Amino acid sequence: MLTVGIDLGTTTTVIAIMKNGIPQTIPIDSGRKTTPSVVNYSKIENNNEILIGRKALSKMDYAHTVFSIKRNMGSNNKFFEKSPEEISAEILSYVKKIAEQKLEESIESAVITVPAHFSDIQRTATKRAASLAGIKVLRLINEPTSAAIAFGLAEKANGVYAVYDFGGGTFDFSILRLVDGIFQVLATGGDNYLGGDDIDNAILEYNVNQYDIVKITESEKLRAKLLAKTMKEQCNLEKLVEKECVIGGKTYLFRLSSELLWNLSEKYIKKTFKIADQVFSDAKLSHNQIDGVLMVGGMTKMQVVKEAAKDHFKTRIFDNIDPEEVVAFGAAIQADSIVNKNRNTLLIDVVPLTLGIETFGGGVDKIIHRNTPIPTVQTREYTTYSDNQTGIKFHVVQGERALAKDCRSIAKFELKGIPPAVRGTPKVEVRFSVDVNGLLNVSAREKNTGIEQNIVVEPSAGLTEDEMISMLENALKNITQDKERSAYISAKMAAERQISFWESIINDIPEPEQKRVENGIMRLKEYISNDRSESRDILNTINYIDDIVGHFLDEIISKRLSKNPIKIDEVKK
Amino acid sequence: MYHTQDMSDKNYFEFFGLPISYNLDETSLMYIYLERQRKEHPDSCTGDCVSFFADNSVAELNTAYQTLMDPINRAEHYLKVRRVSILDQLPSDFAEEMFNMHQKYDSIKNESEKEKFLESLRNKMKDILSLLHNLKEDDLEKFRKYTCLLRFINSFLEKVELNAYSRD
Repeated sequence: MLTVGIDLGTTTTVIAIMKNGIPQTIPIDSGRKTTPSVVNYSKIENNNEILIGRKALSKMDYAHTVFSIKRNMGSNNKFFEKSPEEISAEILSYVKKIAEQKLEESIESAVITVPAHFSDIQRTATKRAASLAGIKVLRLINEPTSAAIAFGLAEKANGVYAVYDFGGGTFDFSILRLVDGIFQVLATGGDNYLGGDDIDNAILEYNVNQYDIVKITESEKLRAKLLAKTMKEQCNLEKLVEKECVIGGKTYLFRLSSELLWNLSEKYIKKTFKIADQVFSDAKLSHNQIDGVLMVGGMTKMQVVKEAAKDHFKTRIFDNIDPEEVVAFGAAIQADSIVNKNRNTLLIDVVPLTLGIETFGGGVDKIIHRNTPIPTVQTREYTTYSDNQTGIKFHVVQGERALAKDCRSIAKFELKGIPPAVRGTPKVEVRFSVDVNGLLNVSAREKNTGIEQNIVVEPSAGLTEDEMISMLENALKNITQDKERSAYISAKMAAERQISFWESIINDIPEPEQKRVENGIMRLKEYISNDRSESRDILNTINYIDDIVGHFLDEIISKRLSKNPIKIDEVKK
Repeated sequence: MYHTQDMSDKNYFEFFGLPISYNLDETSLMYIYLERQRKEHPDSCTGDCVSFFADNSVAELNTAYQTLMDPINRAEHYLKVRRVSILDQLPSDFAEEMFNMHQKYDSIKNESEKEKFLESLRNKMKDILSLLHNLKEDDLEKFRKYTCLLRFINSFLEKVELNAYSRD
């Protein structure tokens, strides 16, 4: 069973594995290192086969093709009746299948990279996509951090470095401290809707306006956009690029000069620097206090970007590692390190966006600030604002804006059953925890009575639970080897049996063990009500409680037997 | 919904094995923190430790580190450890000056003048910080006063920055 690293990118996907301590890309798409993240759904013509990557591109059937699905991760949007999770899962299944053929061994688990600025909802969606593809997610790690790992190990670098990650669809900027194999993220920032795509659109728009083209169909637009992308790449080597483009039966000559390319991309590049400087200020560092900037992502291959970065940061620029492979390399290294419990590399990442609760009046009470290292647990106490109020509603939001309505809505829940009391007396403790994957868990507890509610943070926008279940069922039909899922189901059933047993005897367990068992059960319930839990965690917790209870079991049983002696005639029945 | 402050009863100076003093060596704190991460992080936890216990202990480690690395949080934590409550109202001799700060900022129309004003506040914070560093350990009354002032200016700056962020 193998473990790999996957960079599921907006425009391209890369899969890598560790071989003899060195990360290597597994060539998937006609022997190439990168696979375009493109899916073609013209099933009838393709014998019911969905085409992925270059095969999908070469079909030139833009009316049935999905591009840049990553930009829709975590949304409700559907394409050809498929959700972004399902479409991403097609890409993941495809690279997994081909990689398994190449390696002649099956792939069990992976570390998957996500943009550092991805929200909780987008991370959850990515994890779901992987489980739909039958891949167990060892960890979600942030793309710039992943690049830093690959870079740090290759260069044996120590010091403070920035990662400038400008990809097809997203921009991330992180500053990290590297100390003997520890990668400590100091601050991060980014924009999920800023990438090469925007520049391609600008090139297209410019040319369309030049010729006053008013009528252009969707598929013509997609084709023209791909053409613009090619022109942008060629413009890196040539001063002037000219290509013919057919729109509405007419042929137009599209042009792009290096000067024009700069004019069209300047706005976007400047925007990346603005974000970068915010990150510098968050890390309380200035440009000259870092040891260099690592260039990552397809866009950093462009001369205009490289030169602008040199001008802006006025520090050493590292562009010697292939910017398209480096993220997957880091993921492969991290996957290997997690599986082998390697203590030489350690990653300390941060929460990318502030998490908080909407306050009375529409503001945001910030609970976990951006750039807080993970894992983290923060609690806050709230109380009622009117007499005899029995419920408190909470709205969890993510973002930096002052008003809750301007932030991303993550979840809404209500803690009910608070005993009627004078306002201000109930104490409701809200607990936010973010795990090493950057995923959020929220619980609320009334401290006087112990009434508690755990909230598995489900996307407010995104799939409903029913949709998720049916998706999982379908996936299970297709992927018979989804071992983790079945292990999870059986662990969950075991846990449910155990809990009802423990609860029946808990009053007979002396303190302080009783409290420990209670806490253990609480935790276990949290795990089994959470679709993202892993069977390993459930089983570990069962064992933990079992060990405590085990000491008292004989005593409890004999006590019960003596209190309620079994009647002979009952036994006969 | 009212908001009441969360109070943990930990002494983070002891937690890191450091002397209870506002003046601490940030570089050695960083190394202590990183070494403990290496030992306690869930990724390094093998066999006999359950990952959620490791998660919780590292979460505490992270909170402790963040508290001590931030000069204002550290000041407030220091007061708590010394059993001095944090002032929740500005001392009267500063109240007027601080109140004027809001008014003054709002009355400035010119962007670069505004920025200059904010810069002067940032410098003021730096001055207060160096004052804190040089205070005698038992001058807790002054310490408390300056900490309150720092928190006040800092929240003002944060609010201004947040509004700038929201405008984008």
